[in-house]
Formats: sequence, structure tokens, C-alpha cells
Amino acid sequence: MNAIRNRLSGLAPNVVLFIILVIVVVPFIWVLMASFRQSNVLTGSFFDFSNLGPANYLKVLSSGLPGNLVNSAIACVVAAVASVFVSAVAAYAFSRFTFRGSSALFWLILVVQVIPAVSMVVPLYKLWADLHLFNSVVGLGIAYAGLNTAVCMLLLKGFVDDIPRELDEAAAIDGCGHFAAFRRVVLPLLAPALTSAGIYVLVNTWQEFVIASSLLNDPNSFTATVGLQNLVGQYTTDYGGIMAGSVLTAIPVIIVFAIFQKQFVSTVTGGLKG
Amino acid sequence: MVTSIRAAGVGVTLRRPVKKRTHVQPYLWLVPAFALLAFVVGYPILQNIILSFTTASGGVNSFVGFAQYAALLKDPVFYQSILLTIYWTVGVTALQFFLGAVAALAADRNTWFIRRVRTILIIPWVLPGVVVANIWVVFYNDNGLINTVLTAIGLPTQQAWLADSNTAMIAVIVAAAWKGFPFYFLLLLAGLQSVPEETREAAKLDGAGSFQTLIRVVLPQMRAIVVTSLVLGVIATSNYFDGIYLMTGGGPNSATLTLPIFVYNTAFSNFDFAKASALSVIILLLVLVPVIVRLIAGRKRVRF
Repeated sequence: MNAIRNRLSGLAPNVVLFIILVIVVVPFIWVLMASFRQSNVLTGSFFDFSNLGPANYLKVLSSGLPGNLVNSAIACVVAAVASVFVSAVAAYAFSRFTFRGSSALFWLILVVQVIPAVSMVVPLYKLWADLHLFNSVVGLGIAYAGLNTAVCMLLLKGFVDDIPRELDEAAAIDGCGHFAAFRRVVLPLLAPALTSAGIYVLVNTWQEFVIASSLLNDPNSFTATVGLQNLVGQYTTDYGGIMAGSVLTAIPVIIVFAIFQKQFVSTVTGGLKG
Repeated sequence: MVTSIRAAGVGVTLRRPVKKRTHVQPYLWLVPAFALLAFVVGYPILQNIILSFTTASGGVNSFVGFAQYAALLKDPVFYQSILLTIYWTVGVTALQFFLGAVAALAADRNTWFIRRVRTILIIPWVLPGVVVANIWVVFYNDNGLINTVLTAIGLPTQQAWLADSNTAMIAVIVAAAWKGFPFYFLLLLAGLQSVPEETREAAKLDGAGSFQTLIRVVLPQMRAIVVTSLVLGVIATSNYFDGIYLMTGGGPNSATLTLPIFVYNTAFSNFDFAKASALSVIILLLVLVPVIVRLIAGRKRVRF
């Protein structure tokens, strides 16, 4: 009796995990199949391999989506590099110097971190239009950088705190100054953390839709998410094309996540340490 | 610190240049980050607040005081939108937390296979909302997967889930739960793994079953992570835009018009930027006031 109970309690987690895995994976497989179907996209069964072909992909690849994917990459990289750079410098100051107002400024960052993107949509739209940054992919990257700086700074501050002070203080006192100490001693030690923060920003901004859709209205400057939504409007009931576009938009972020999984997860869970 | 040494007259002449530098230098380090924040966040928010006291009718912005806010407070759509936001947030959070917790408990083992499974479970969370919305729109279609499965198991349904105002909200909540549950999964899994194995062993030796161990020993140690993940999750969910907007646009009949959708439609469908600004300010206050209160209340416990 006990042996059976033990066997069952050992089995239960696996059954639960299997069910959740099915819930997650079935949509992936279904979408992948649908994107290759050339007819009956909606009604074709899982095991219907009769009319598969690349037609949907060829159609989507001749649309604006490939250009939009490049735009997304540019905006995301600008955002990641800019936000990680300014955050690293500020995190060093917060970690190493005591100065008047440091905790007030740090609180400000905590508050900025929770500002909802949607409340920034209207004012950013107005400001970007005034500055002729409207429809600029790099401009969008700058907006993303600003919106991700608070998170990056909180993250990097924790990592700078973990680097022993003695290392860079010794360098600073040896006459090379704080900035050189930062550049030569702290930055190299911080490299893994910078990667983690950068990956987090990349994954975050690749998904972004609402800011991009309000700061861009020229199809040539669309990011992938906005471009994909535009395709949905054009294709209406051409679900094969929509599925192919969705797969193409999802693949880059899945690849980045798969490669840098460890860094990404440690960023998400590390944010809880504070 | 520096001022008190100077006041005491210790080492003033010898160290003055160095001290002067450490006085200004910290602020110089903060300039790039705060300049960026001021440009992208601070200045726009200020402009937004100013704009919310104006009316844009007739092409010229004229100052109207609190008129936009007063009009919103009399607007039944605004109250309905708040209720829908609460409904949405509670529904999504409950479902995501449940799925995340169950998955975390089931995946709290360290084998090669389980680690692969974990990776796959996180993927929905990194997918763009547009992609997820497209997938679920197709699933909810009259001839889509959901109706096919329901018909197959004998339920005679041909429900147009997203087009029916009775089911649209539930439909978007389920889709959002699918996309977002990995957030709780990740955090709760990290929490479970931070509980030392010895405490569990000890509970087992004392004769506690695995359920008892979980409730009495493991959960109490995870309180902080549960609270933090829920706070972050609720903030993120209540402000979530993509999924709802792309699946229903706030409809049908405003059945899924949460506050973020309301703001966006006011600005970009009705082009009433002043009203949208007032709404944005209200959303900002709804998020920031509890956060600031919490920060001040928990002042002693927040580690910087």
C-alpha cells in the first residue's frame, strides 16, 4: 500500500508537468504547422501533412516584414547599449560614493521603474513629433533606452555592490582616478552583468508594441511587432500568412533567449534580492 | 561627512582639492542616466500633466483647470473601465499564479530532462504580445482549435469567443495567462530552490508528509518572494496593453476596455490628447501612490 502511494506521489509531479508542457507546446506546434499549410489553415487537423509548403513564408518575405525585423534589431540594440552604458556608470556612483541626495535619487529610480508604458504614450508621441524623432528607428531606440534605464540601474547596482570595494579603491588611490578605476577594474568584472542586463532589455524591447505603434506610422520604419500587426490588417483572413509572419517575428527572440537563458533567468530572479 | 570634518577643522588645508572633487564627482557620474531619464520620462510626464489641464478643441490649447478630470469623474465609461481593469487584473493574476505555482512545484528537481522542460515553459513569456494575440485569435475563431476540441469532447459549441461581449474578457484572460504564467513560474521556482534542503529533510524526519512540509515549512520561507512577485505582477498586468488591444481592441461593446486601452483609444482613435493626458495622469497616480506609500512604509526594510 505504502509502496503504491510512494510511486503515485512520485508520479504526480511528472503528470502535472506533462499537462502544462502540452498546454505550452501544442500552440507552438499548431502555429508552425499552420504557417506551412497552403489551404485549410484553420480547419486542417494536426495530422494533416498533405498540403504543406513554403508559400506563406515566400509571401511574407516579399512584404515589408524583413525590413521591419531589421528595424526592430536596430531599435533594440540602441536601447540595450545606451541603457546599459548609462546605468553602469550611475550604478557605480550609487554603489561607491556617499553624497547628498543619493538615497532620494535612488528612490526616484525605484519609482520610475514602475511607471506604466501606456501613461507615457501620449507625452512621448507629442515630444517625439516636436523633435522630429517621429518615425525614426533610432529615436524609438532612445525612448526604449530611457524606459529601461531604471530596471538596468537597479540590477547593475546590485552587481557593483558585490565587487569588493578594495579592488577599485586601490586603483583609484594609486592615482588613476575613479573613472579609470571604473573602466579598467570594475567594467571587466561587471561584463557578465552587463550582458545579462543587455539581454533583458533586448528581449523586453523586441516584444514592445504600444510605444512603437504610437511613435511610428511609416511602414518603412515599423518594428517587427508593428509590421506584423499591419500585415494582420492587410491579410485579414489569410491566416497562413499571419502565422508565417508570427513565426518569423518570434524566432529571433526565441534564439536570443535560448542562447542567453541563464543570464536572462538570473536577471529576472535577481531583481528580487533587494 | 565631509562637512563635519571641515567644521571640526581637521585636515582642511591638506585635503581640500581632493574633497572638492568627491563633492561634485558623484553627480557627474549620474548625469548620463538622469539626463536620459529626464528626456524620455521626466519632461514628457511634466508636459502630460500640463496638457491634462487644457482642452484641445478648436485647435488651440486653452487652460481649463480640472475640467478634464471633472469630466472623467462623471464619465460612466471611466468607472466601467476601472472595474474591467480590476476584473482583468484579478483574473489574469489568479490564473497565472496558479499555473506558475503548480509548474514550479512540479519542476523543482534538477535533472537534465527537467531543465530542458523549464526552458520550454518560459518561452511564451518572451514571445511578443502581437504573436501571442495572433495565435489566440486563430484559436478562438469559429472554426478554430478551441471550438474543434470542445465539439470533439461532445460539447455542442460554436462560440465566437472574442466577438461575444459575455466571453471576450474570459477569452483574453486565458490567452494572457498562457503568455504570462512563466513569470510566476520563474520566481516561485527560484524561491523554492532557495529553501535549504536540510529544512525539508528535517521536516520529513519529523514525520511530516510532503504536503505538510510544503505548507508549514517551505511556504513560510517564501513569503517575501510571493509578495514581491505578486506586487510586480499586479502592476504589470493592470497596465498590460498589447494582448487585449490586439485581440479585441477594447470591444466588443467596450467589454474589454481596460484603462490602458481606454487611454490609447482616446488618444489615437478620438484624437482627444488632453483627455488622454488626464487619464494617463490618473493611471500614473493609481500605480505610483501605492508604490510610494509602500516604499515609505517599508523604508527600514528596503536594502539599497
